[in-house]
Amino acid sequence: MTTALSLNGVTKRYGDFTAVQSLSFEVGTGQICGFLGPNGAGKTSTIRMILGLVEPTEGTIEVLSAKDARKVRERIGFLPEERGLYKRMTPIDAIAFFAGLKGVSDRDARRRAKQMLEEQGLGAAMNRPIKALSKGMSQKVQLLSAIAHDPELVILDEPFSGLDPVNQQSLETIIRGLASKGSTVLFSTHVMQHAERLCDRVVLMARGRKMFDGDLAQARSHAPRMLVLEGNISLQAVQALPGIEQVEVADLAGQEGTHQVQLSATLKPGANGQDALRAAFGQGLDLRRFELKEPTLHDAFIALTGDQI
Amino acid sequence: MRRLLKIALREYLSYVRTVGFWLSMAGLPVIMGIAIMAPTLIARSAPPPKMAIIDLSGHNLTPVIVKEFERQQSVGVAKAMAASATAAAGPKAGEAIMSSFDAQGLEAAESTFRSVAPKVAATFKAPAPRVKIVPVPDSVAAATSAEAAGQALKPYLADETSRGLTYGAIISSDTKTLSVDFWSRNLGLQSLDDRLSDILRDEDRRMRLTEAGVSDALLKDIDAAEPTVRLRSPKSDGDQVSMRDRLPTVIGFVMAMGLWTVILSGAGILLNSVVEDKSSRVLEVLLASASTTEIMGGKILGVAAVTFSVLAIWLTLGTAMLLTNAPGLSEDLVAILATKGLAYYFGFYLVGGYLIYACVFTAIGAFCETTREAQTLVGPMMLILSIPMIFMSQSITHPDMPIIKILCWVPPFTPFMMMVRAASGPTLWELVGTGLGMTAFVGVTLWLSGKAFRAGALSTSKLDPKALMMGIIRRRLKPV
Repeated sequence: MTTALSLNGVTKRYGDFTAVQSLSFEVGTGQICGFLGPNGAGKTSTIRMILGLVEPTEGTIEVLSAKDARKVRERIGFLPEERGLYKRMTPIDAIAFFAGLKGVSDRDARRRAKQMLEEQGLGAAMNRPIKALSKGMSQKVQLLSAIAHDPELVILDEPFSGLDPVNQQSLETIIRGLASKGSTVLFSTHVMQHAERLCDRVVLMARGRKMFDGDLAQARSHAPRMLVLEGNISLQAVQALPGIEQVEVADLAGQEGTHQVQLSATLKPGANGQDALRAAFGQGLDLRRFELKEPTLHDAFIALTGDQI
Repeated sequence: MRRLLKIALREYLSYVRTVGFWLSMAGLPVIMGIAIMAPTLIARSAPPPKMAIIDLSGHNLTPVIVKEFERQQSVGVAKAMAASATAAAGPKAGEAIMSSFDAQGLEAAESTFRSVAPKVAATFKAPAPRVKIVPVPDSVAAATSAEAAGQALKPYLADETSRGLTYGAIISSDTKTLSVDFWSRNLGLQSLDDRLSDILRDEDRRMRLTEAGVSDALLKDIDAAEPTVRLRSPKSDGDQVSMRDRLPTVIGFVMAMGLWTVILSGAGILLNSVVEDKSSRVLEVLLASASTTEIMGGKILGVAAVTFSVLAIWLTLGTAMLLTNAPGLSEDLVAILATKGLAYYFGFYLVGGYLIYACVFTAIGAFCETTREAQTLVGPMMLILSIPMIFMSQSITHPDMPIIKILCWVPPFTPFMMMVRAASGPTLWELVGTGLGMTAFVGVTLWLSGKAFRAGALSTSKLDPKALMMGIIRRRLKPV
């Protein structure tokens, strides 16, 4: 797989403040890469450096085989965190204008704009001023403006923010569509569910530093697996099961006087949940529920960033 | 270049497609037309004010005053004819009418008018007299003192019907001097009392000299023997300084004022445009699609096209009006614009001045999220821009004053100050030197404002000029 984007030891300082520290990662062509981190993690600064809007203080960035993204800007699509469109323009004019800036001929730009708007259910609104559109509609127009020129690399900064669930779903479909056509997508977000559903790989950031870089399975492996046990059981009995590292009371389940309890047990790394289940039955524990919970990306994020957030 | 032109086209269309643009474009000529026509319309729409002269001096001064007012009215009519003839047939026609009037009076001037500009003369309407002298009402005429006459006059001044009076002049005298109680319906400043005072001072002088034994014939000779003053200048085309010689200076001043207005309007439009793009976050999207130079250049070019479109339309309208109403002046104007090179200077200084202020205002706009922030930053710029405005009018009468010459060498002022001085024939050294200085300054401004624009476009904080300059210098010194 060829590399669409490569950062090597990138640092950005603003005076005494270090926004990004020694950041290195690569994104392969056609991949969807989630660029994750809380607010202030350095995501936007990194994206601006990737786009060549600001220079890194140290390190190098290679975008689509170019040392400077500005030289290949016509092959890049960008959706900024804070949306910006000419409010008096119509959607079709706005999309055609930005596609035109990226080298698409006027005729093709308008044709593509019309087609994309119709595909996204905005055909009826294509000639209305953007200021008359709903927030969700304008955000779609903004996204279409960023991708109307069929970019090879699409960079989306917090693309899901402010969108309702229906539009979020629609945006996920667009992103998958871009990747299926061979575009590389890098999107930043602090909502892990989107990344979990979309990404081939993730880069986790916290306080300007990379905390993790890899695929989802690798990310999840950093978080412990959990067992949820419910019944007339004691903390000590569960603690004694094989592979259990730690047990906490999750909830006092059931009705008063029945001694029902819900416990949350953390499995040791590499431990098998089935061994714990067999041992529990062997010991005759009164269990009503036994559930093995795989860690989510959110769990992985918490585990990886720890006190860095 | 393609991106720059696209941004320029979008900028241009975003303005010319608005109703406000067309309204403002139509608005200025309409307002100017009203301002020019208003005095004439007001004068024609209302009858002249009425004045009664109550002469209690015993010197029978009323006929003297009436005669002098009639003479002044004749001068006014002759000047109006000269202005109409100048507009229709050129400055020489106007000068011919005034020469005829000075030599032989109003009838001769009218005759000359009919010969030099027959079409205009046929439709010419003489201006109404500034005041109509009417008979004194009986109740006022019966008064024997200035106080009594004043009391009797008051009801007529308060009466706003056709029987009422606008002014009343009560002339009385003691043993030595004449005095006038000038009564007016309104409290506003009047010029009639001054005119009356001049007339009476001359008459008083004539009466005293007659009493002293000076004959009427000698007095007339003395009055007629006015010194002949001829205005000459090495810069004049002819023997004496004519109106045509002075016209370039006036045109230069008008062009400099136009230049100032056009440049300021353009820079203002740019400022608003950049602030709007910054606040709506379009600027960041643009920066990912085009270079700083292309964005700035596109915006500056687009707004320049808007400004020049307005200028072109106004010039077309102005030319049409000039050809219709003052064909006599158009030939001279074209000759002056071509021979004195004013049109070329205007083009050069328009480009230079526009680039300087457009770049600065664009860079300022990139740091502002709101118009209020922009106004705060633009305030000092406006103070700087007011300096040439103060001195431009002085350049007409004193084009070689040291301060004006110095200001010509200050690049931000060069376009305006040199435009107004261009007509008075500055030295070649001044023209070339200030031109080169301005060109170099344009280069520096473009470079600095480009850096500032880039820094401002992505900034979220307010402009810190010191930090900005240090940043630019550091970037410049850093090896790339």
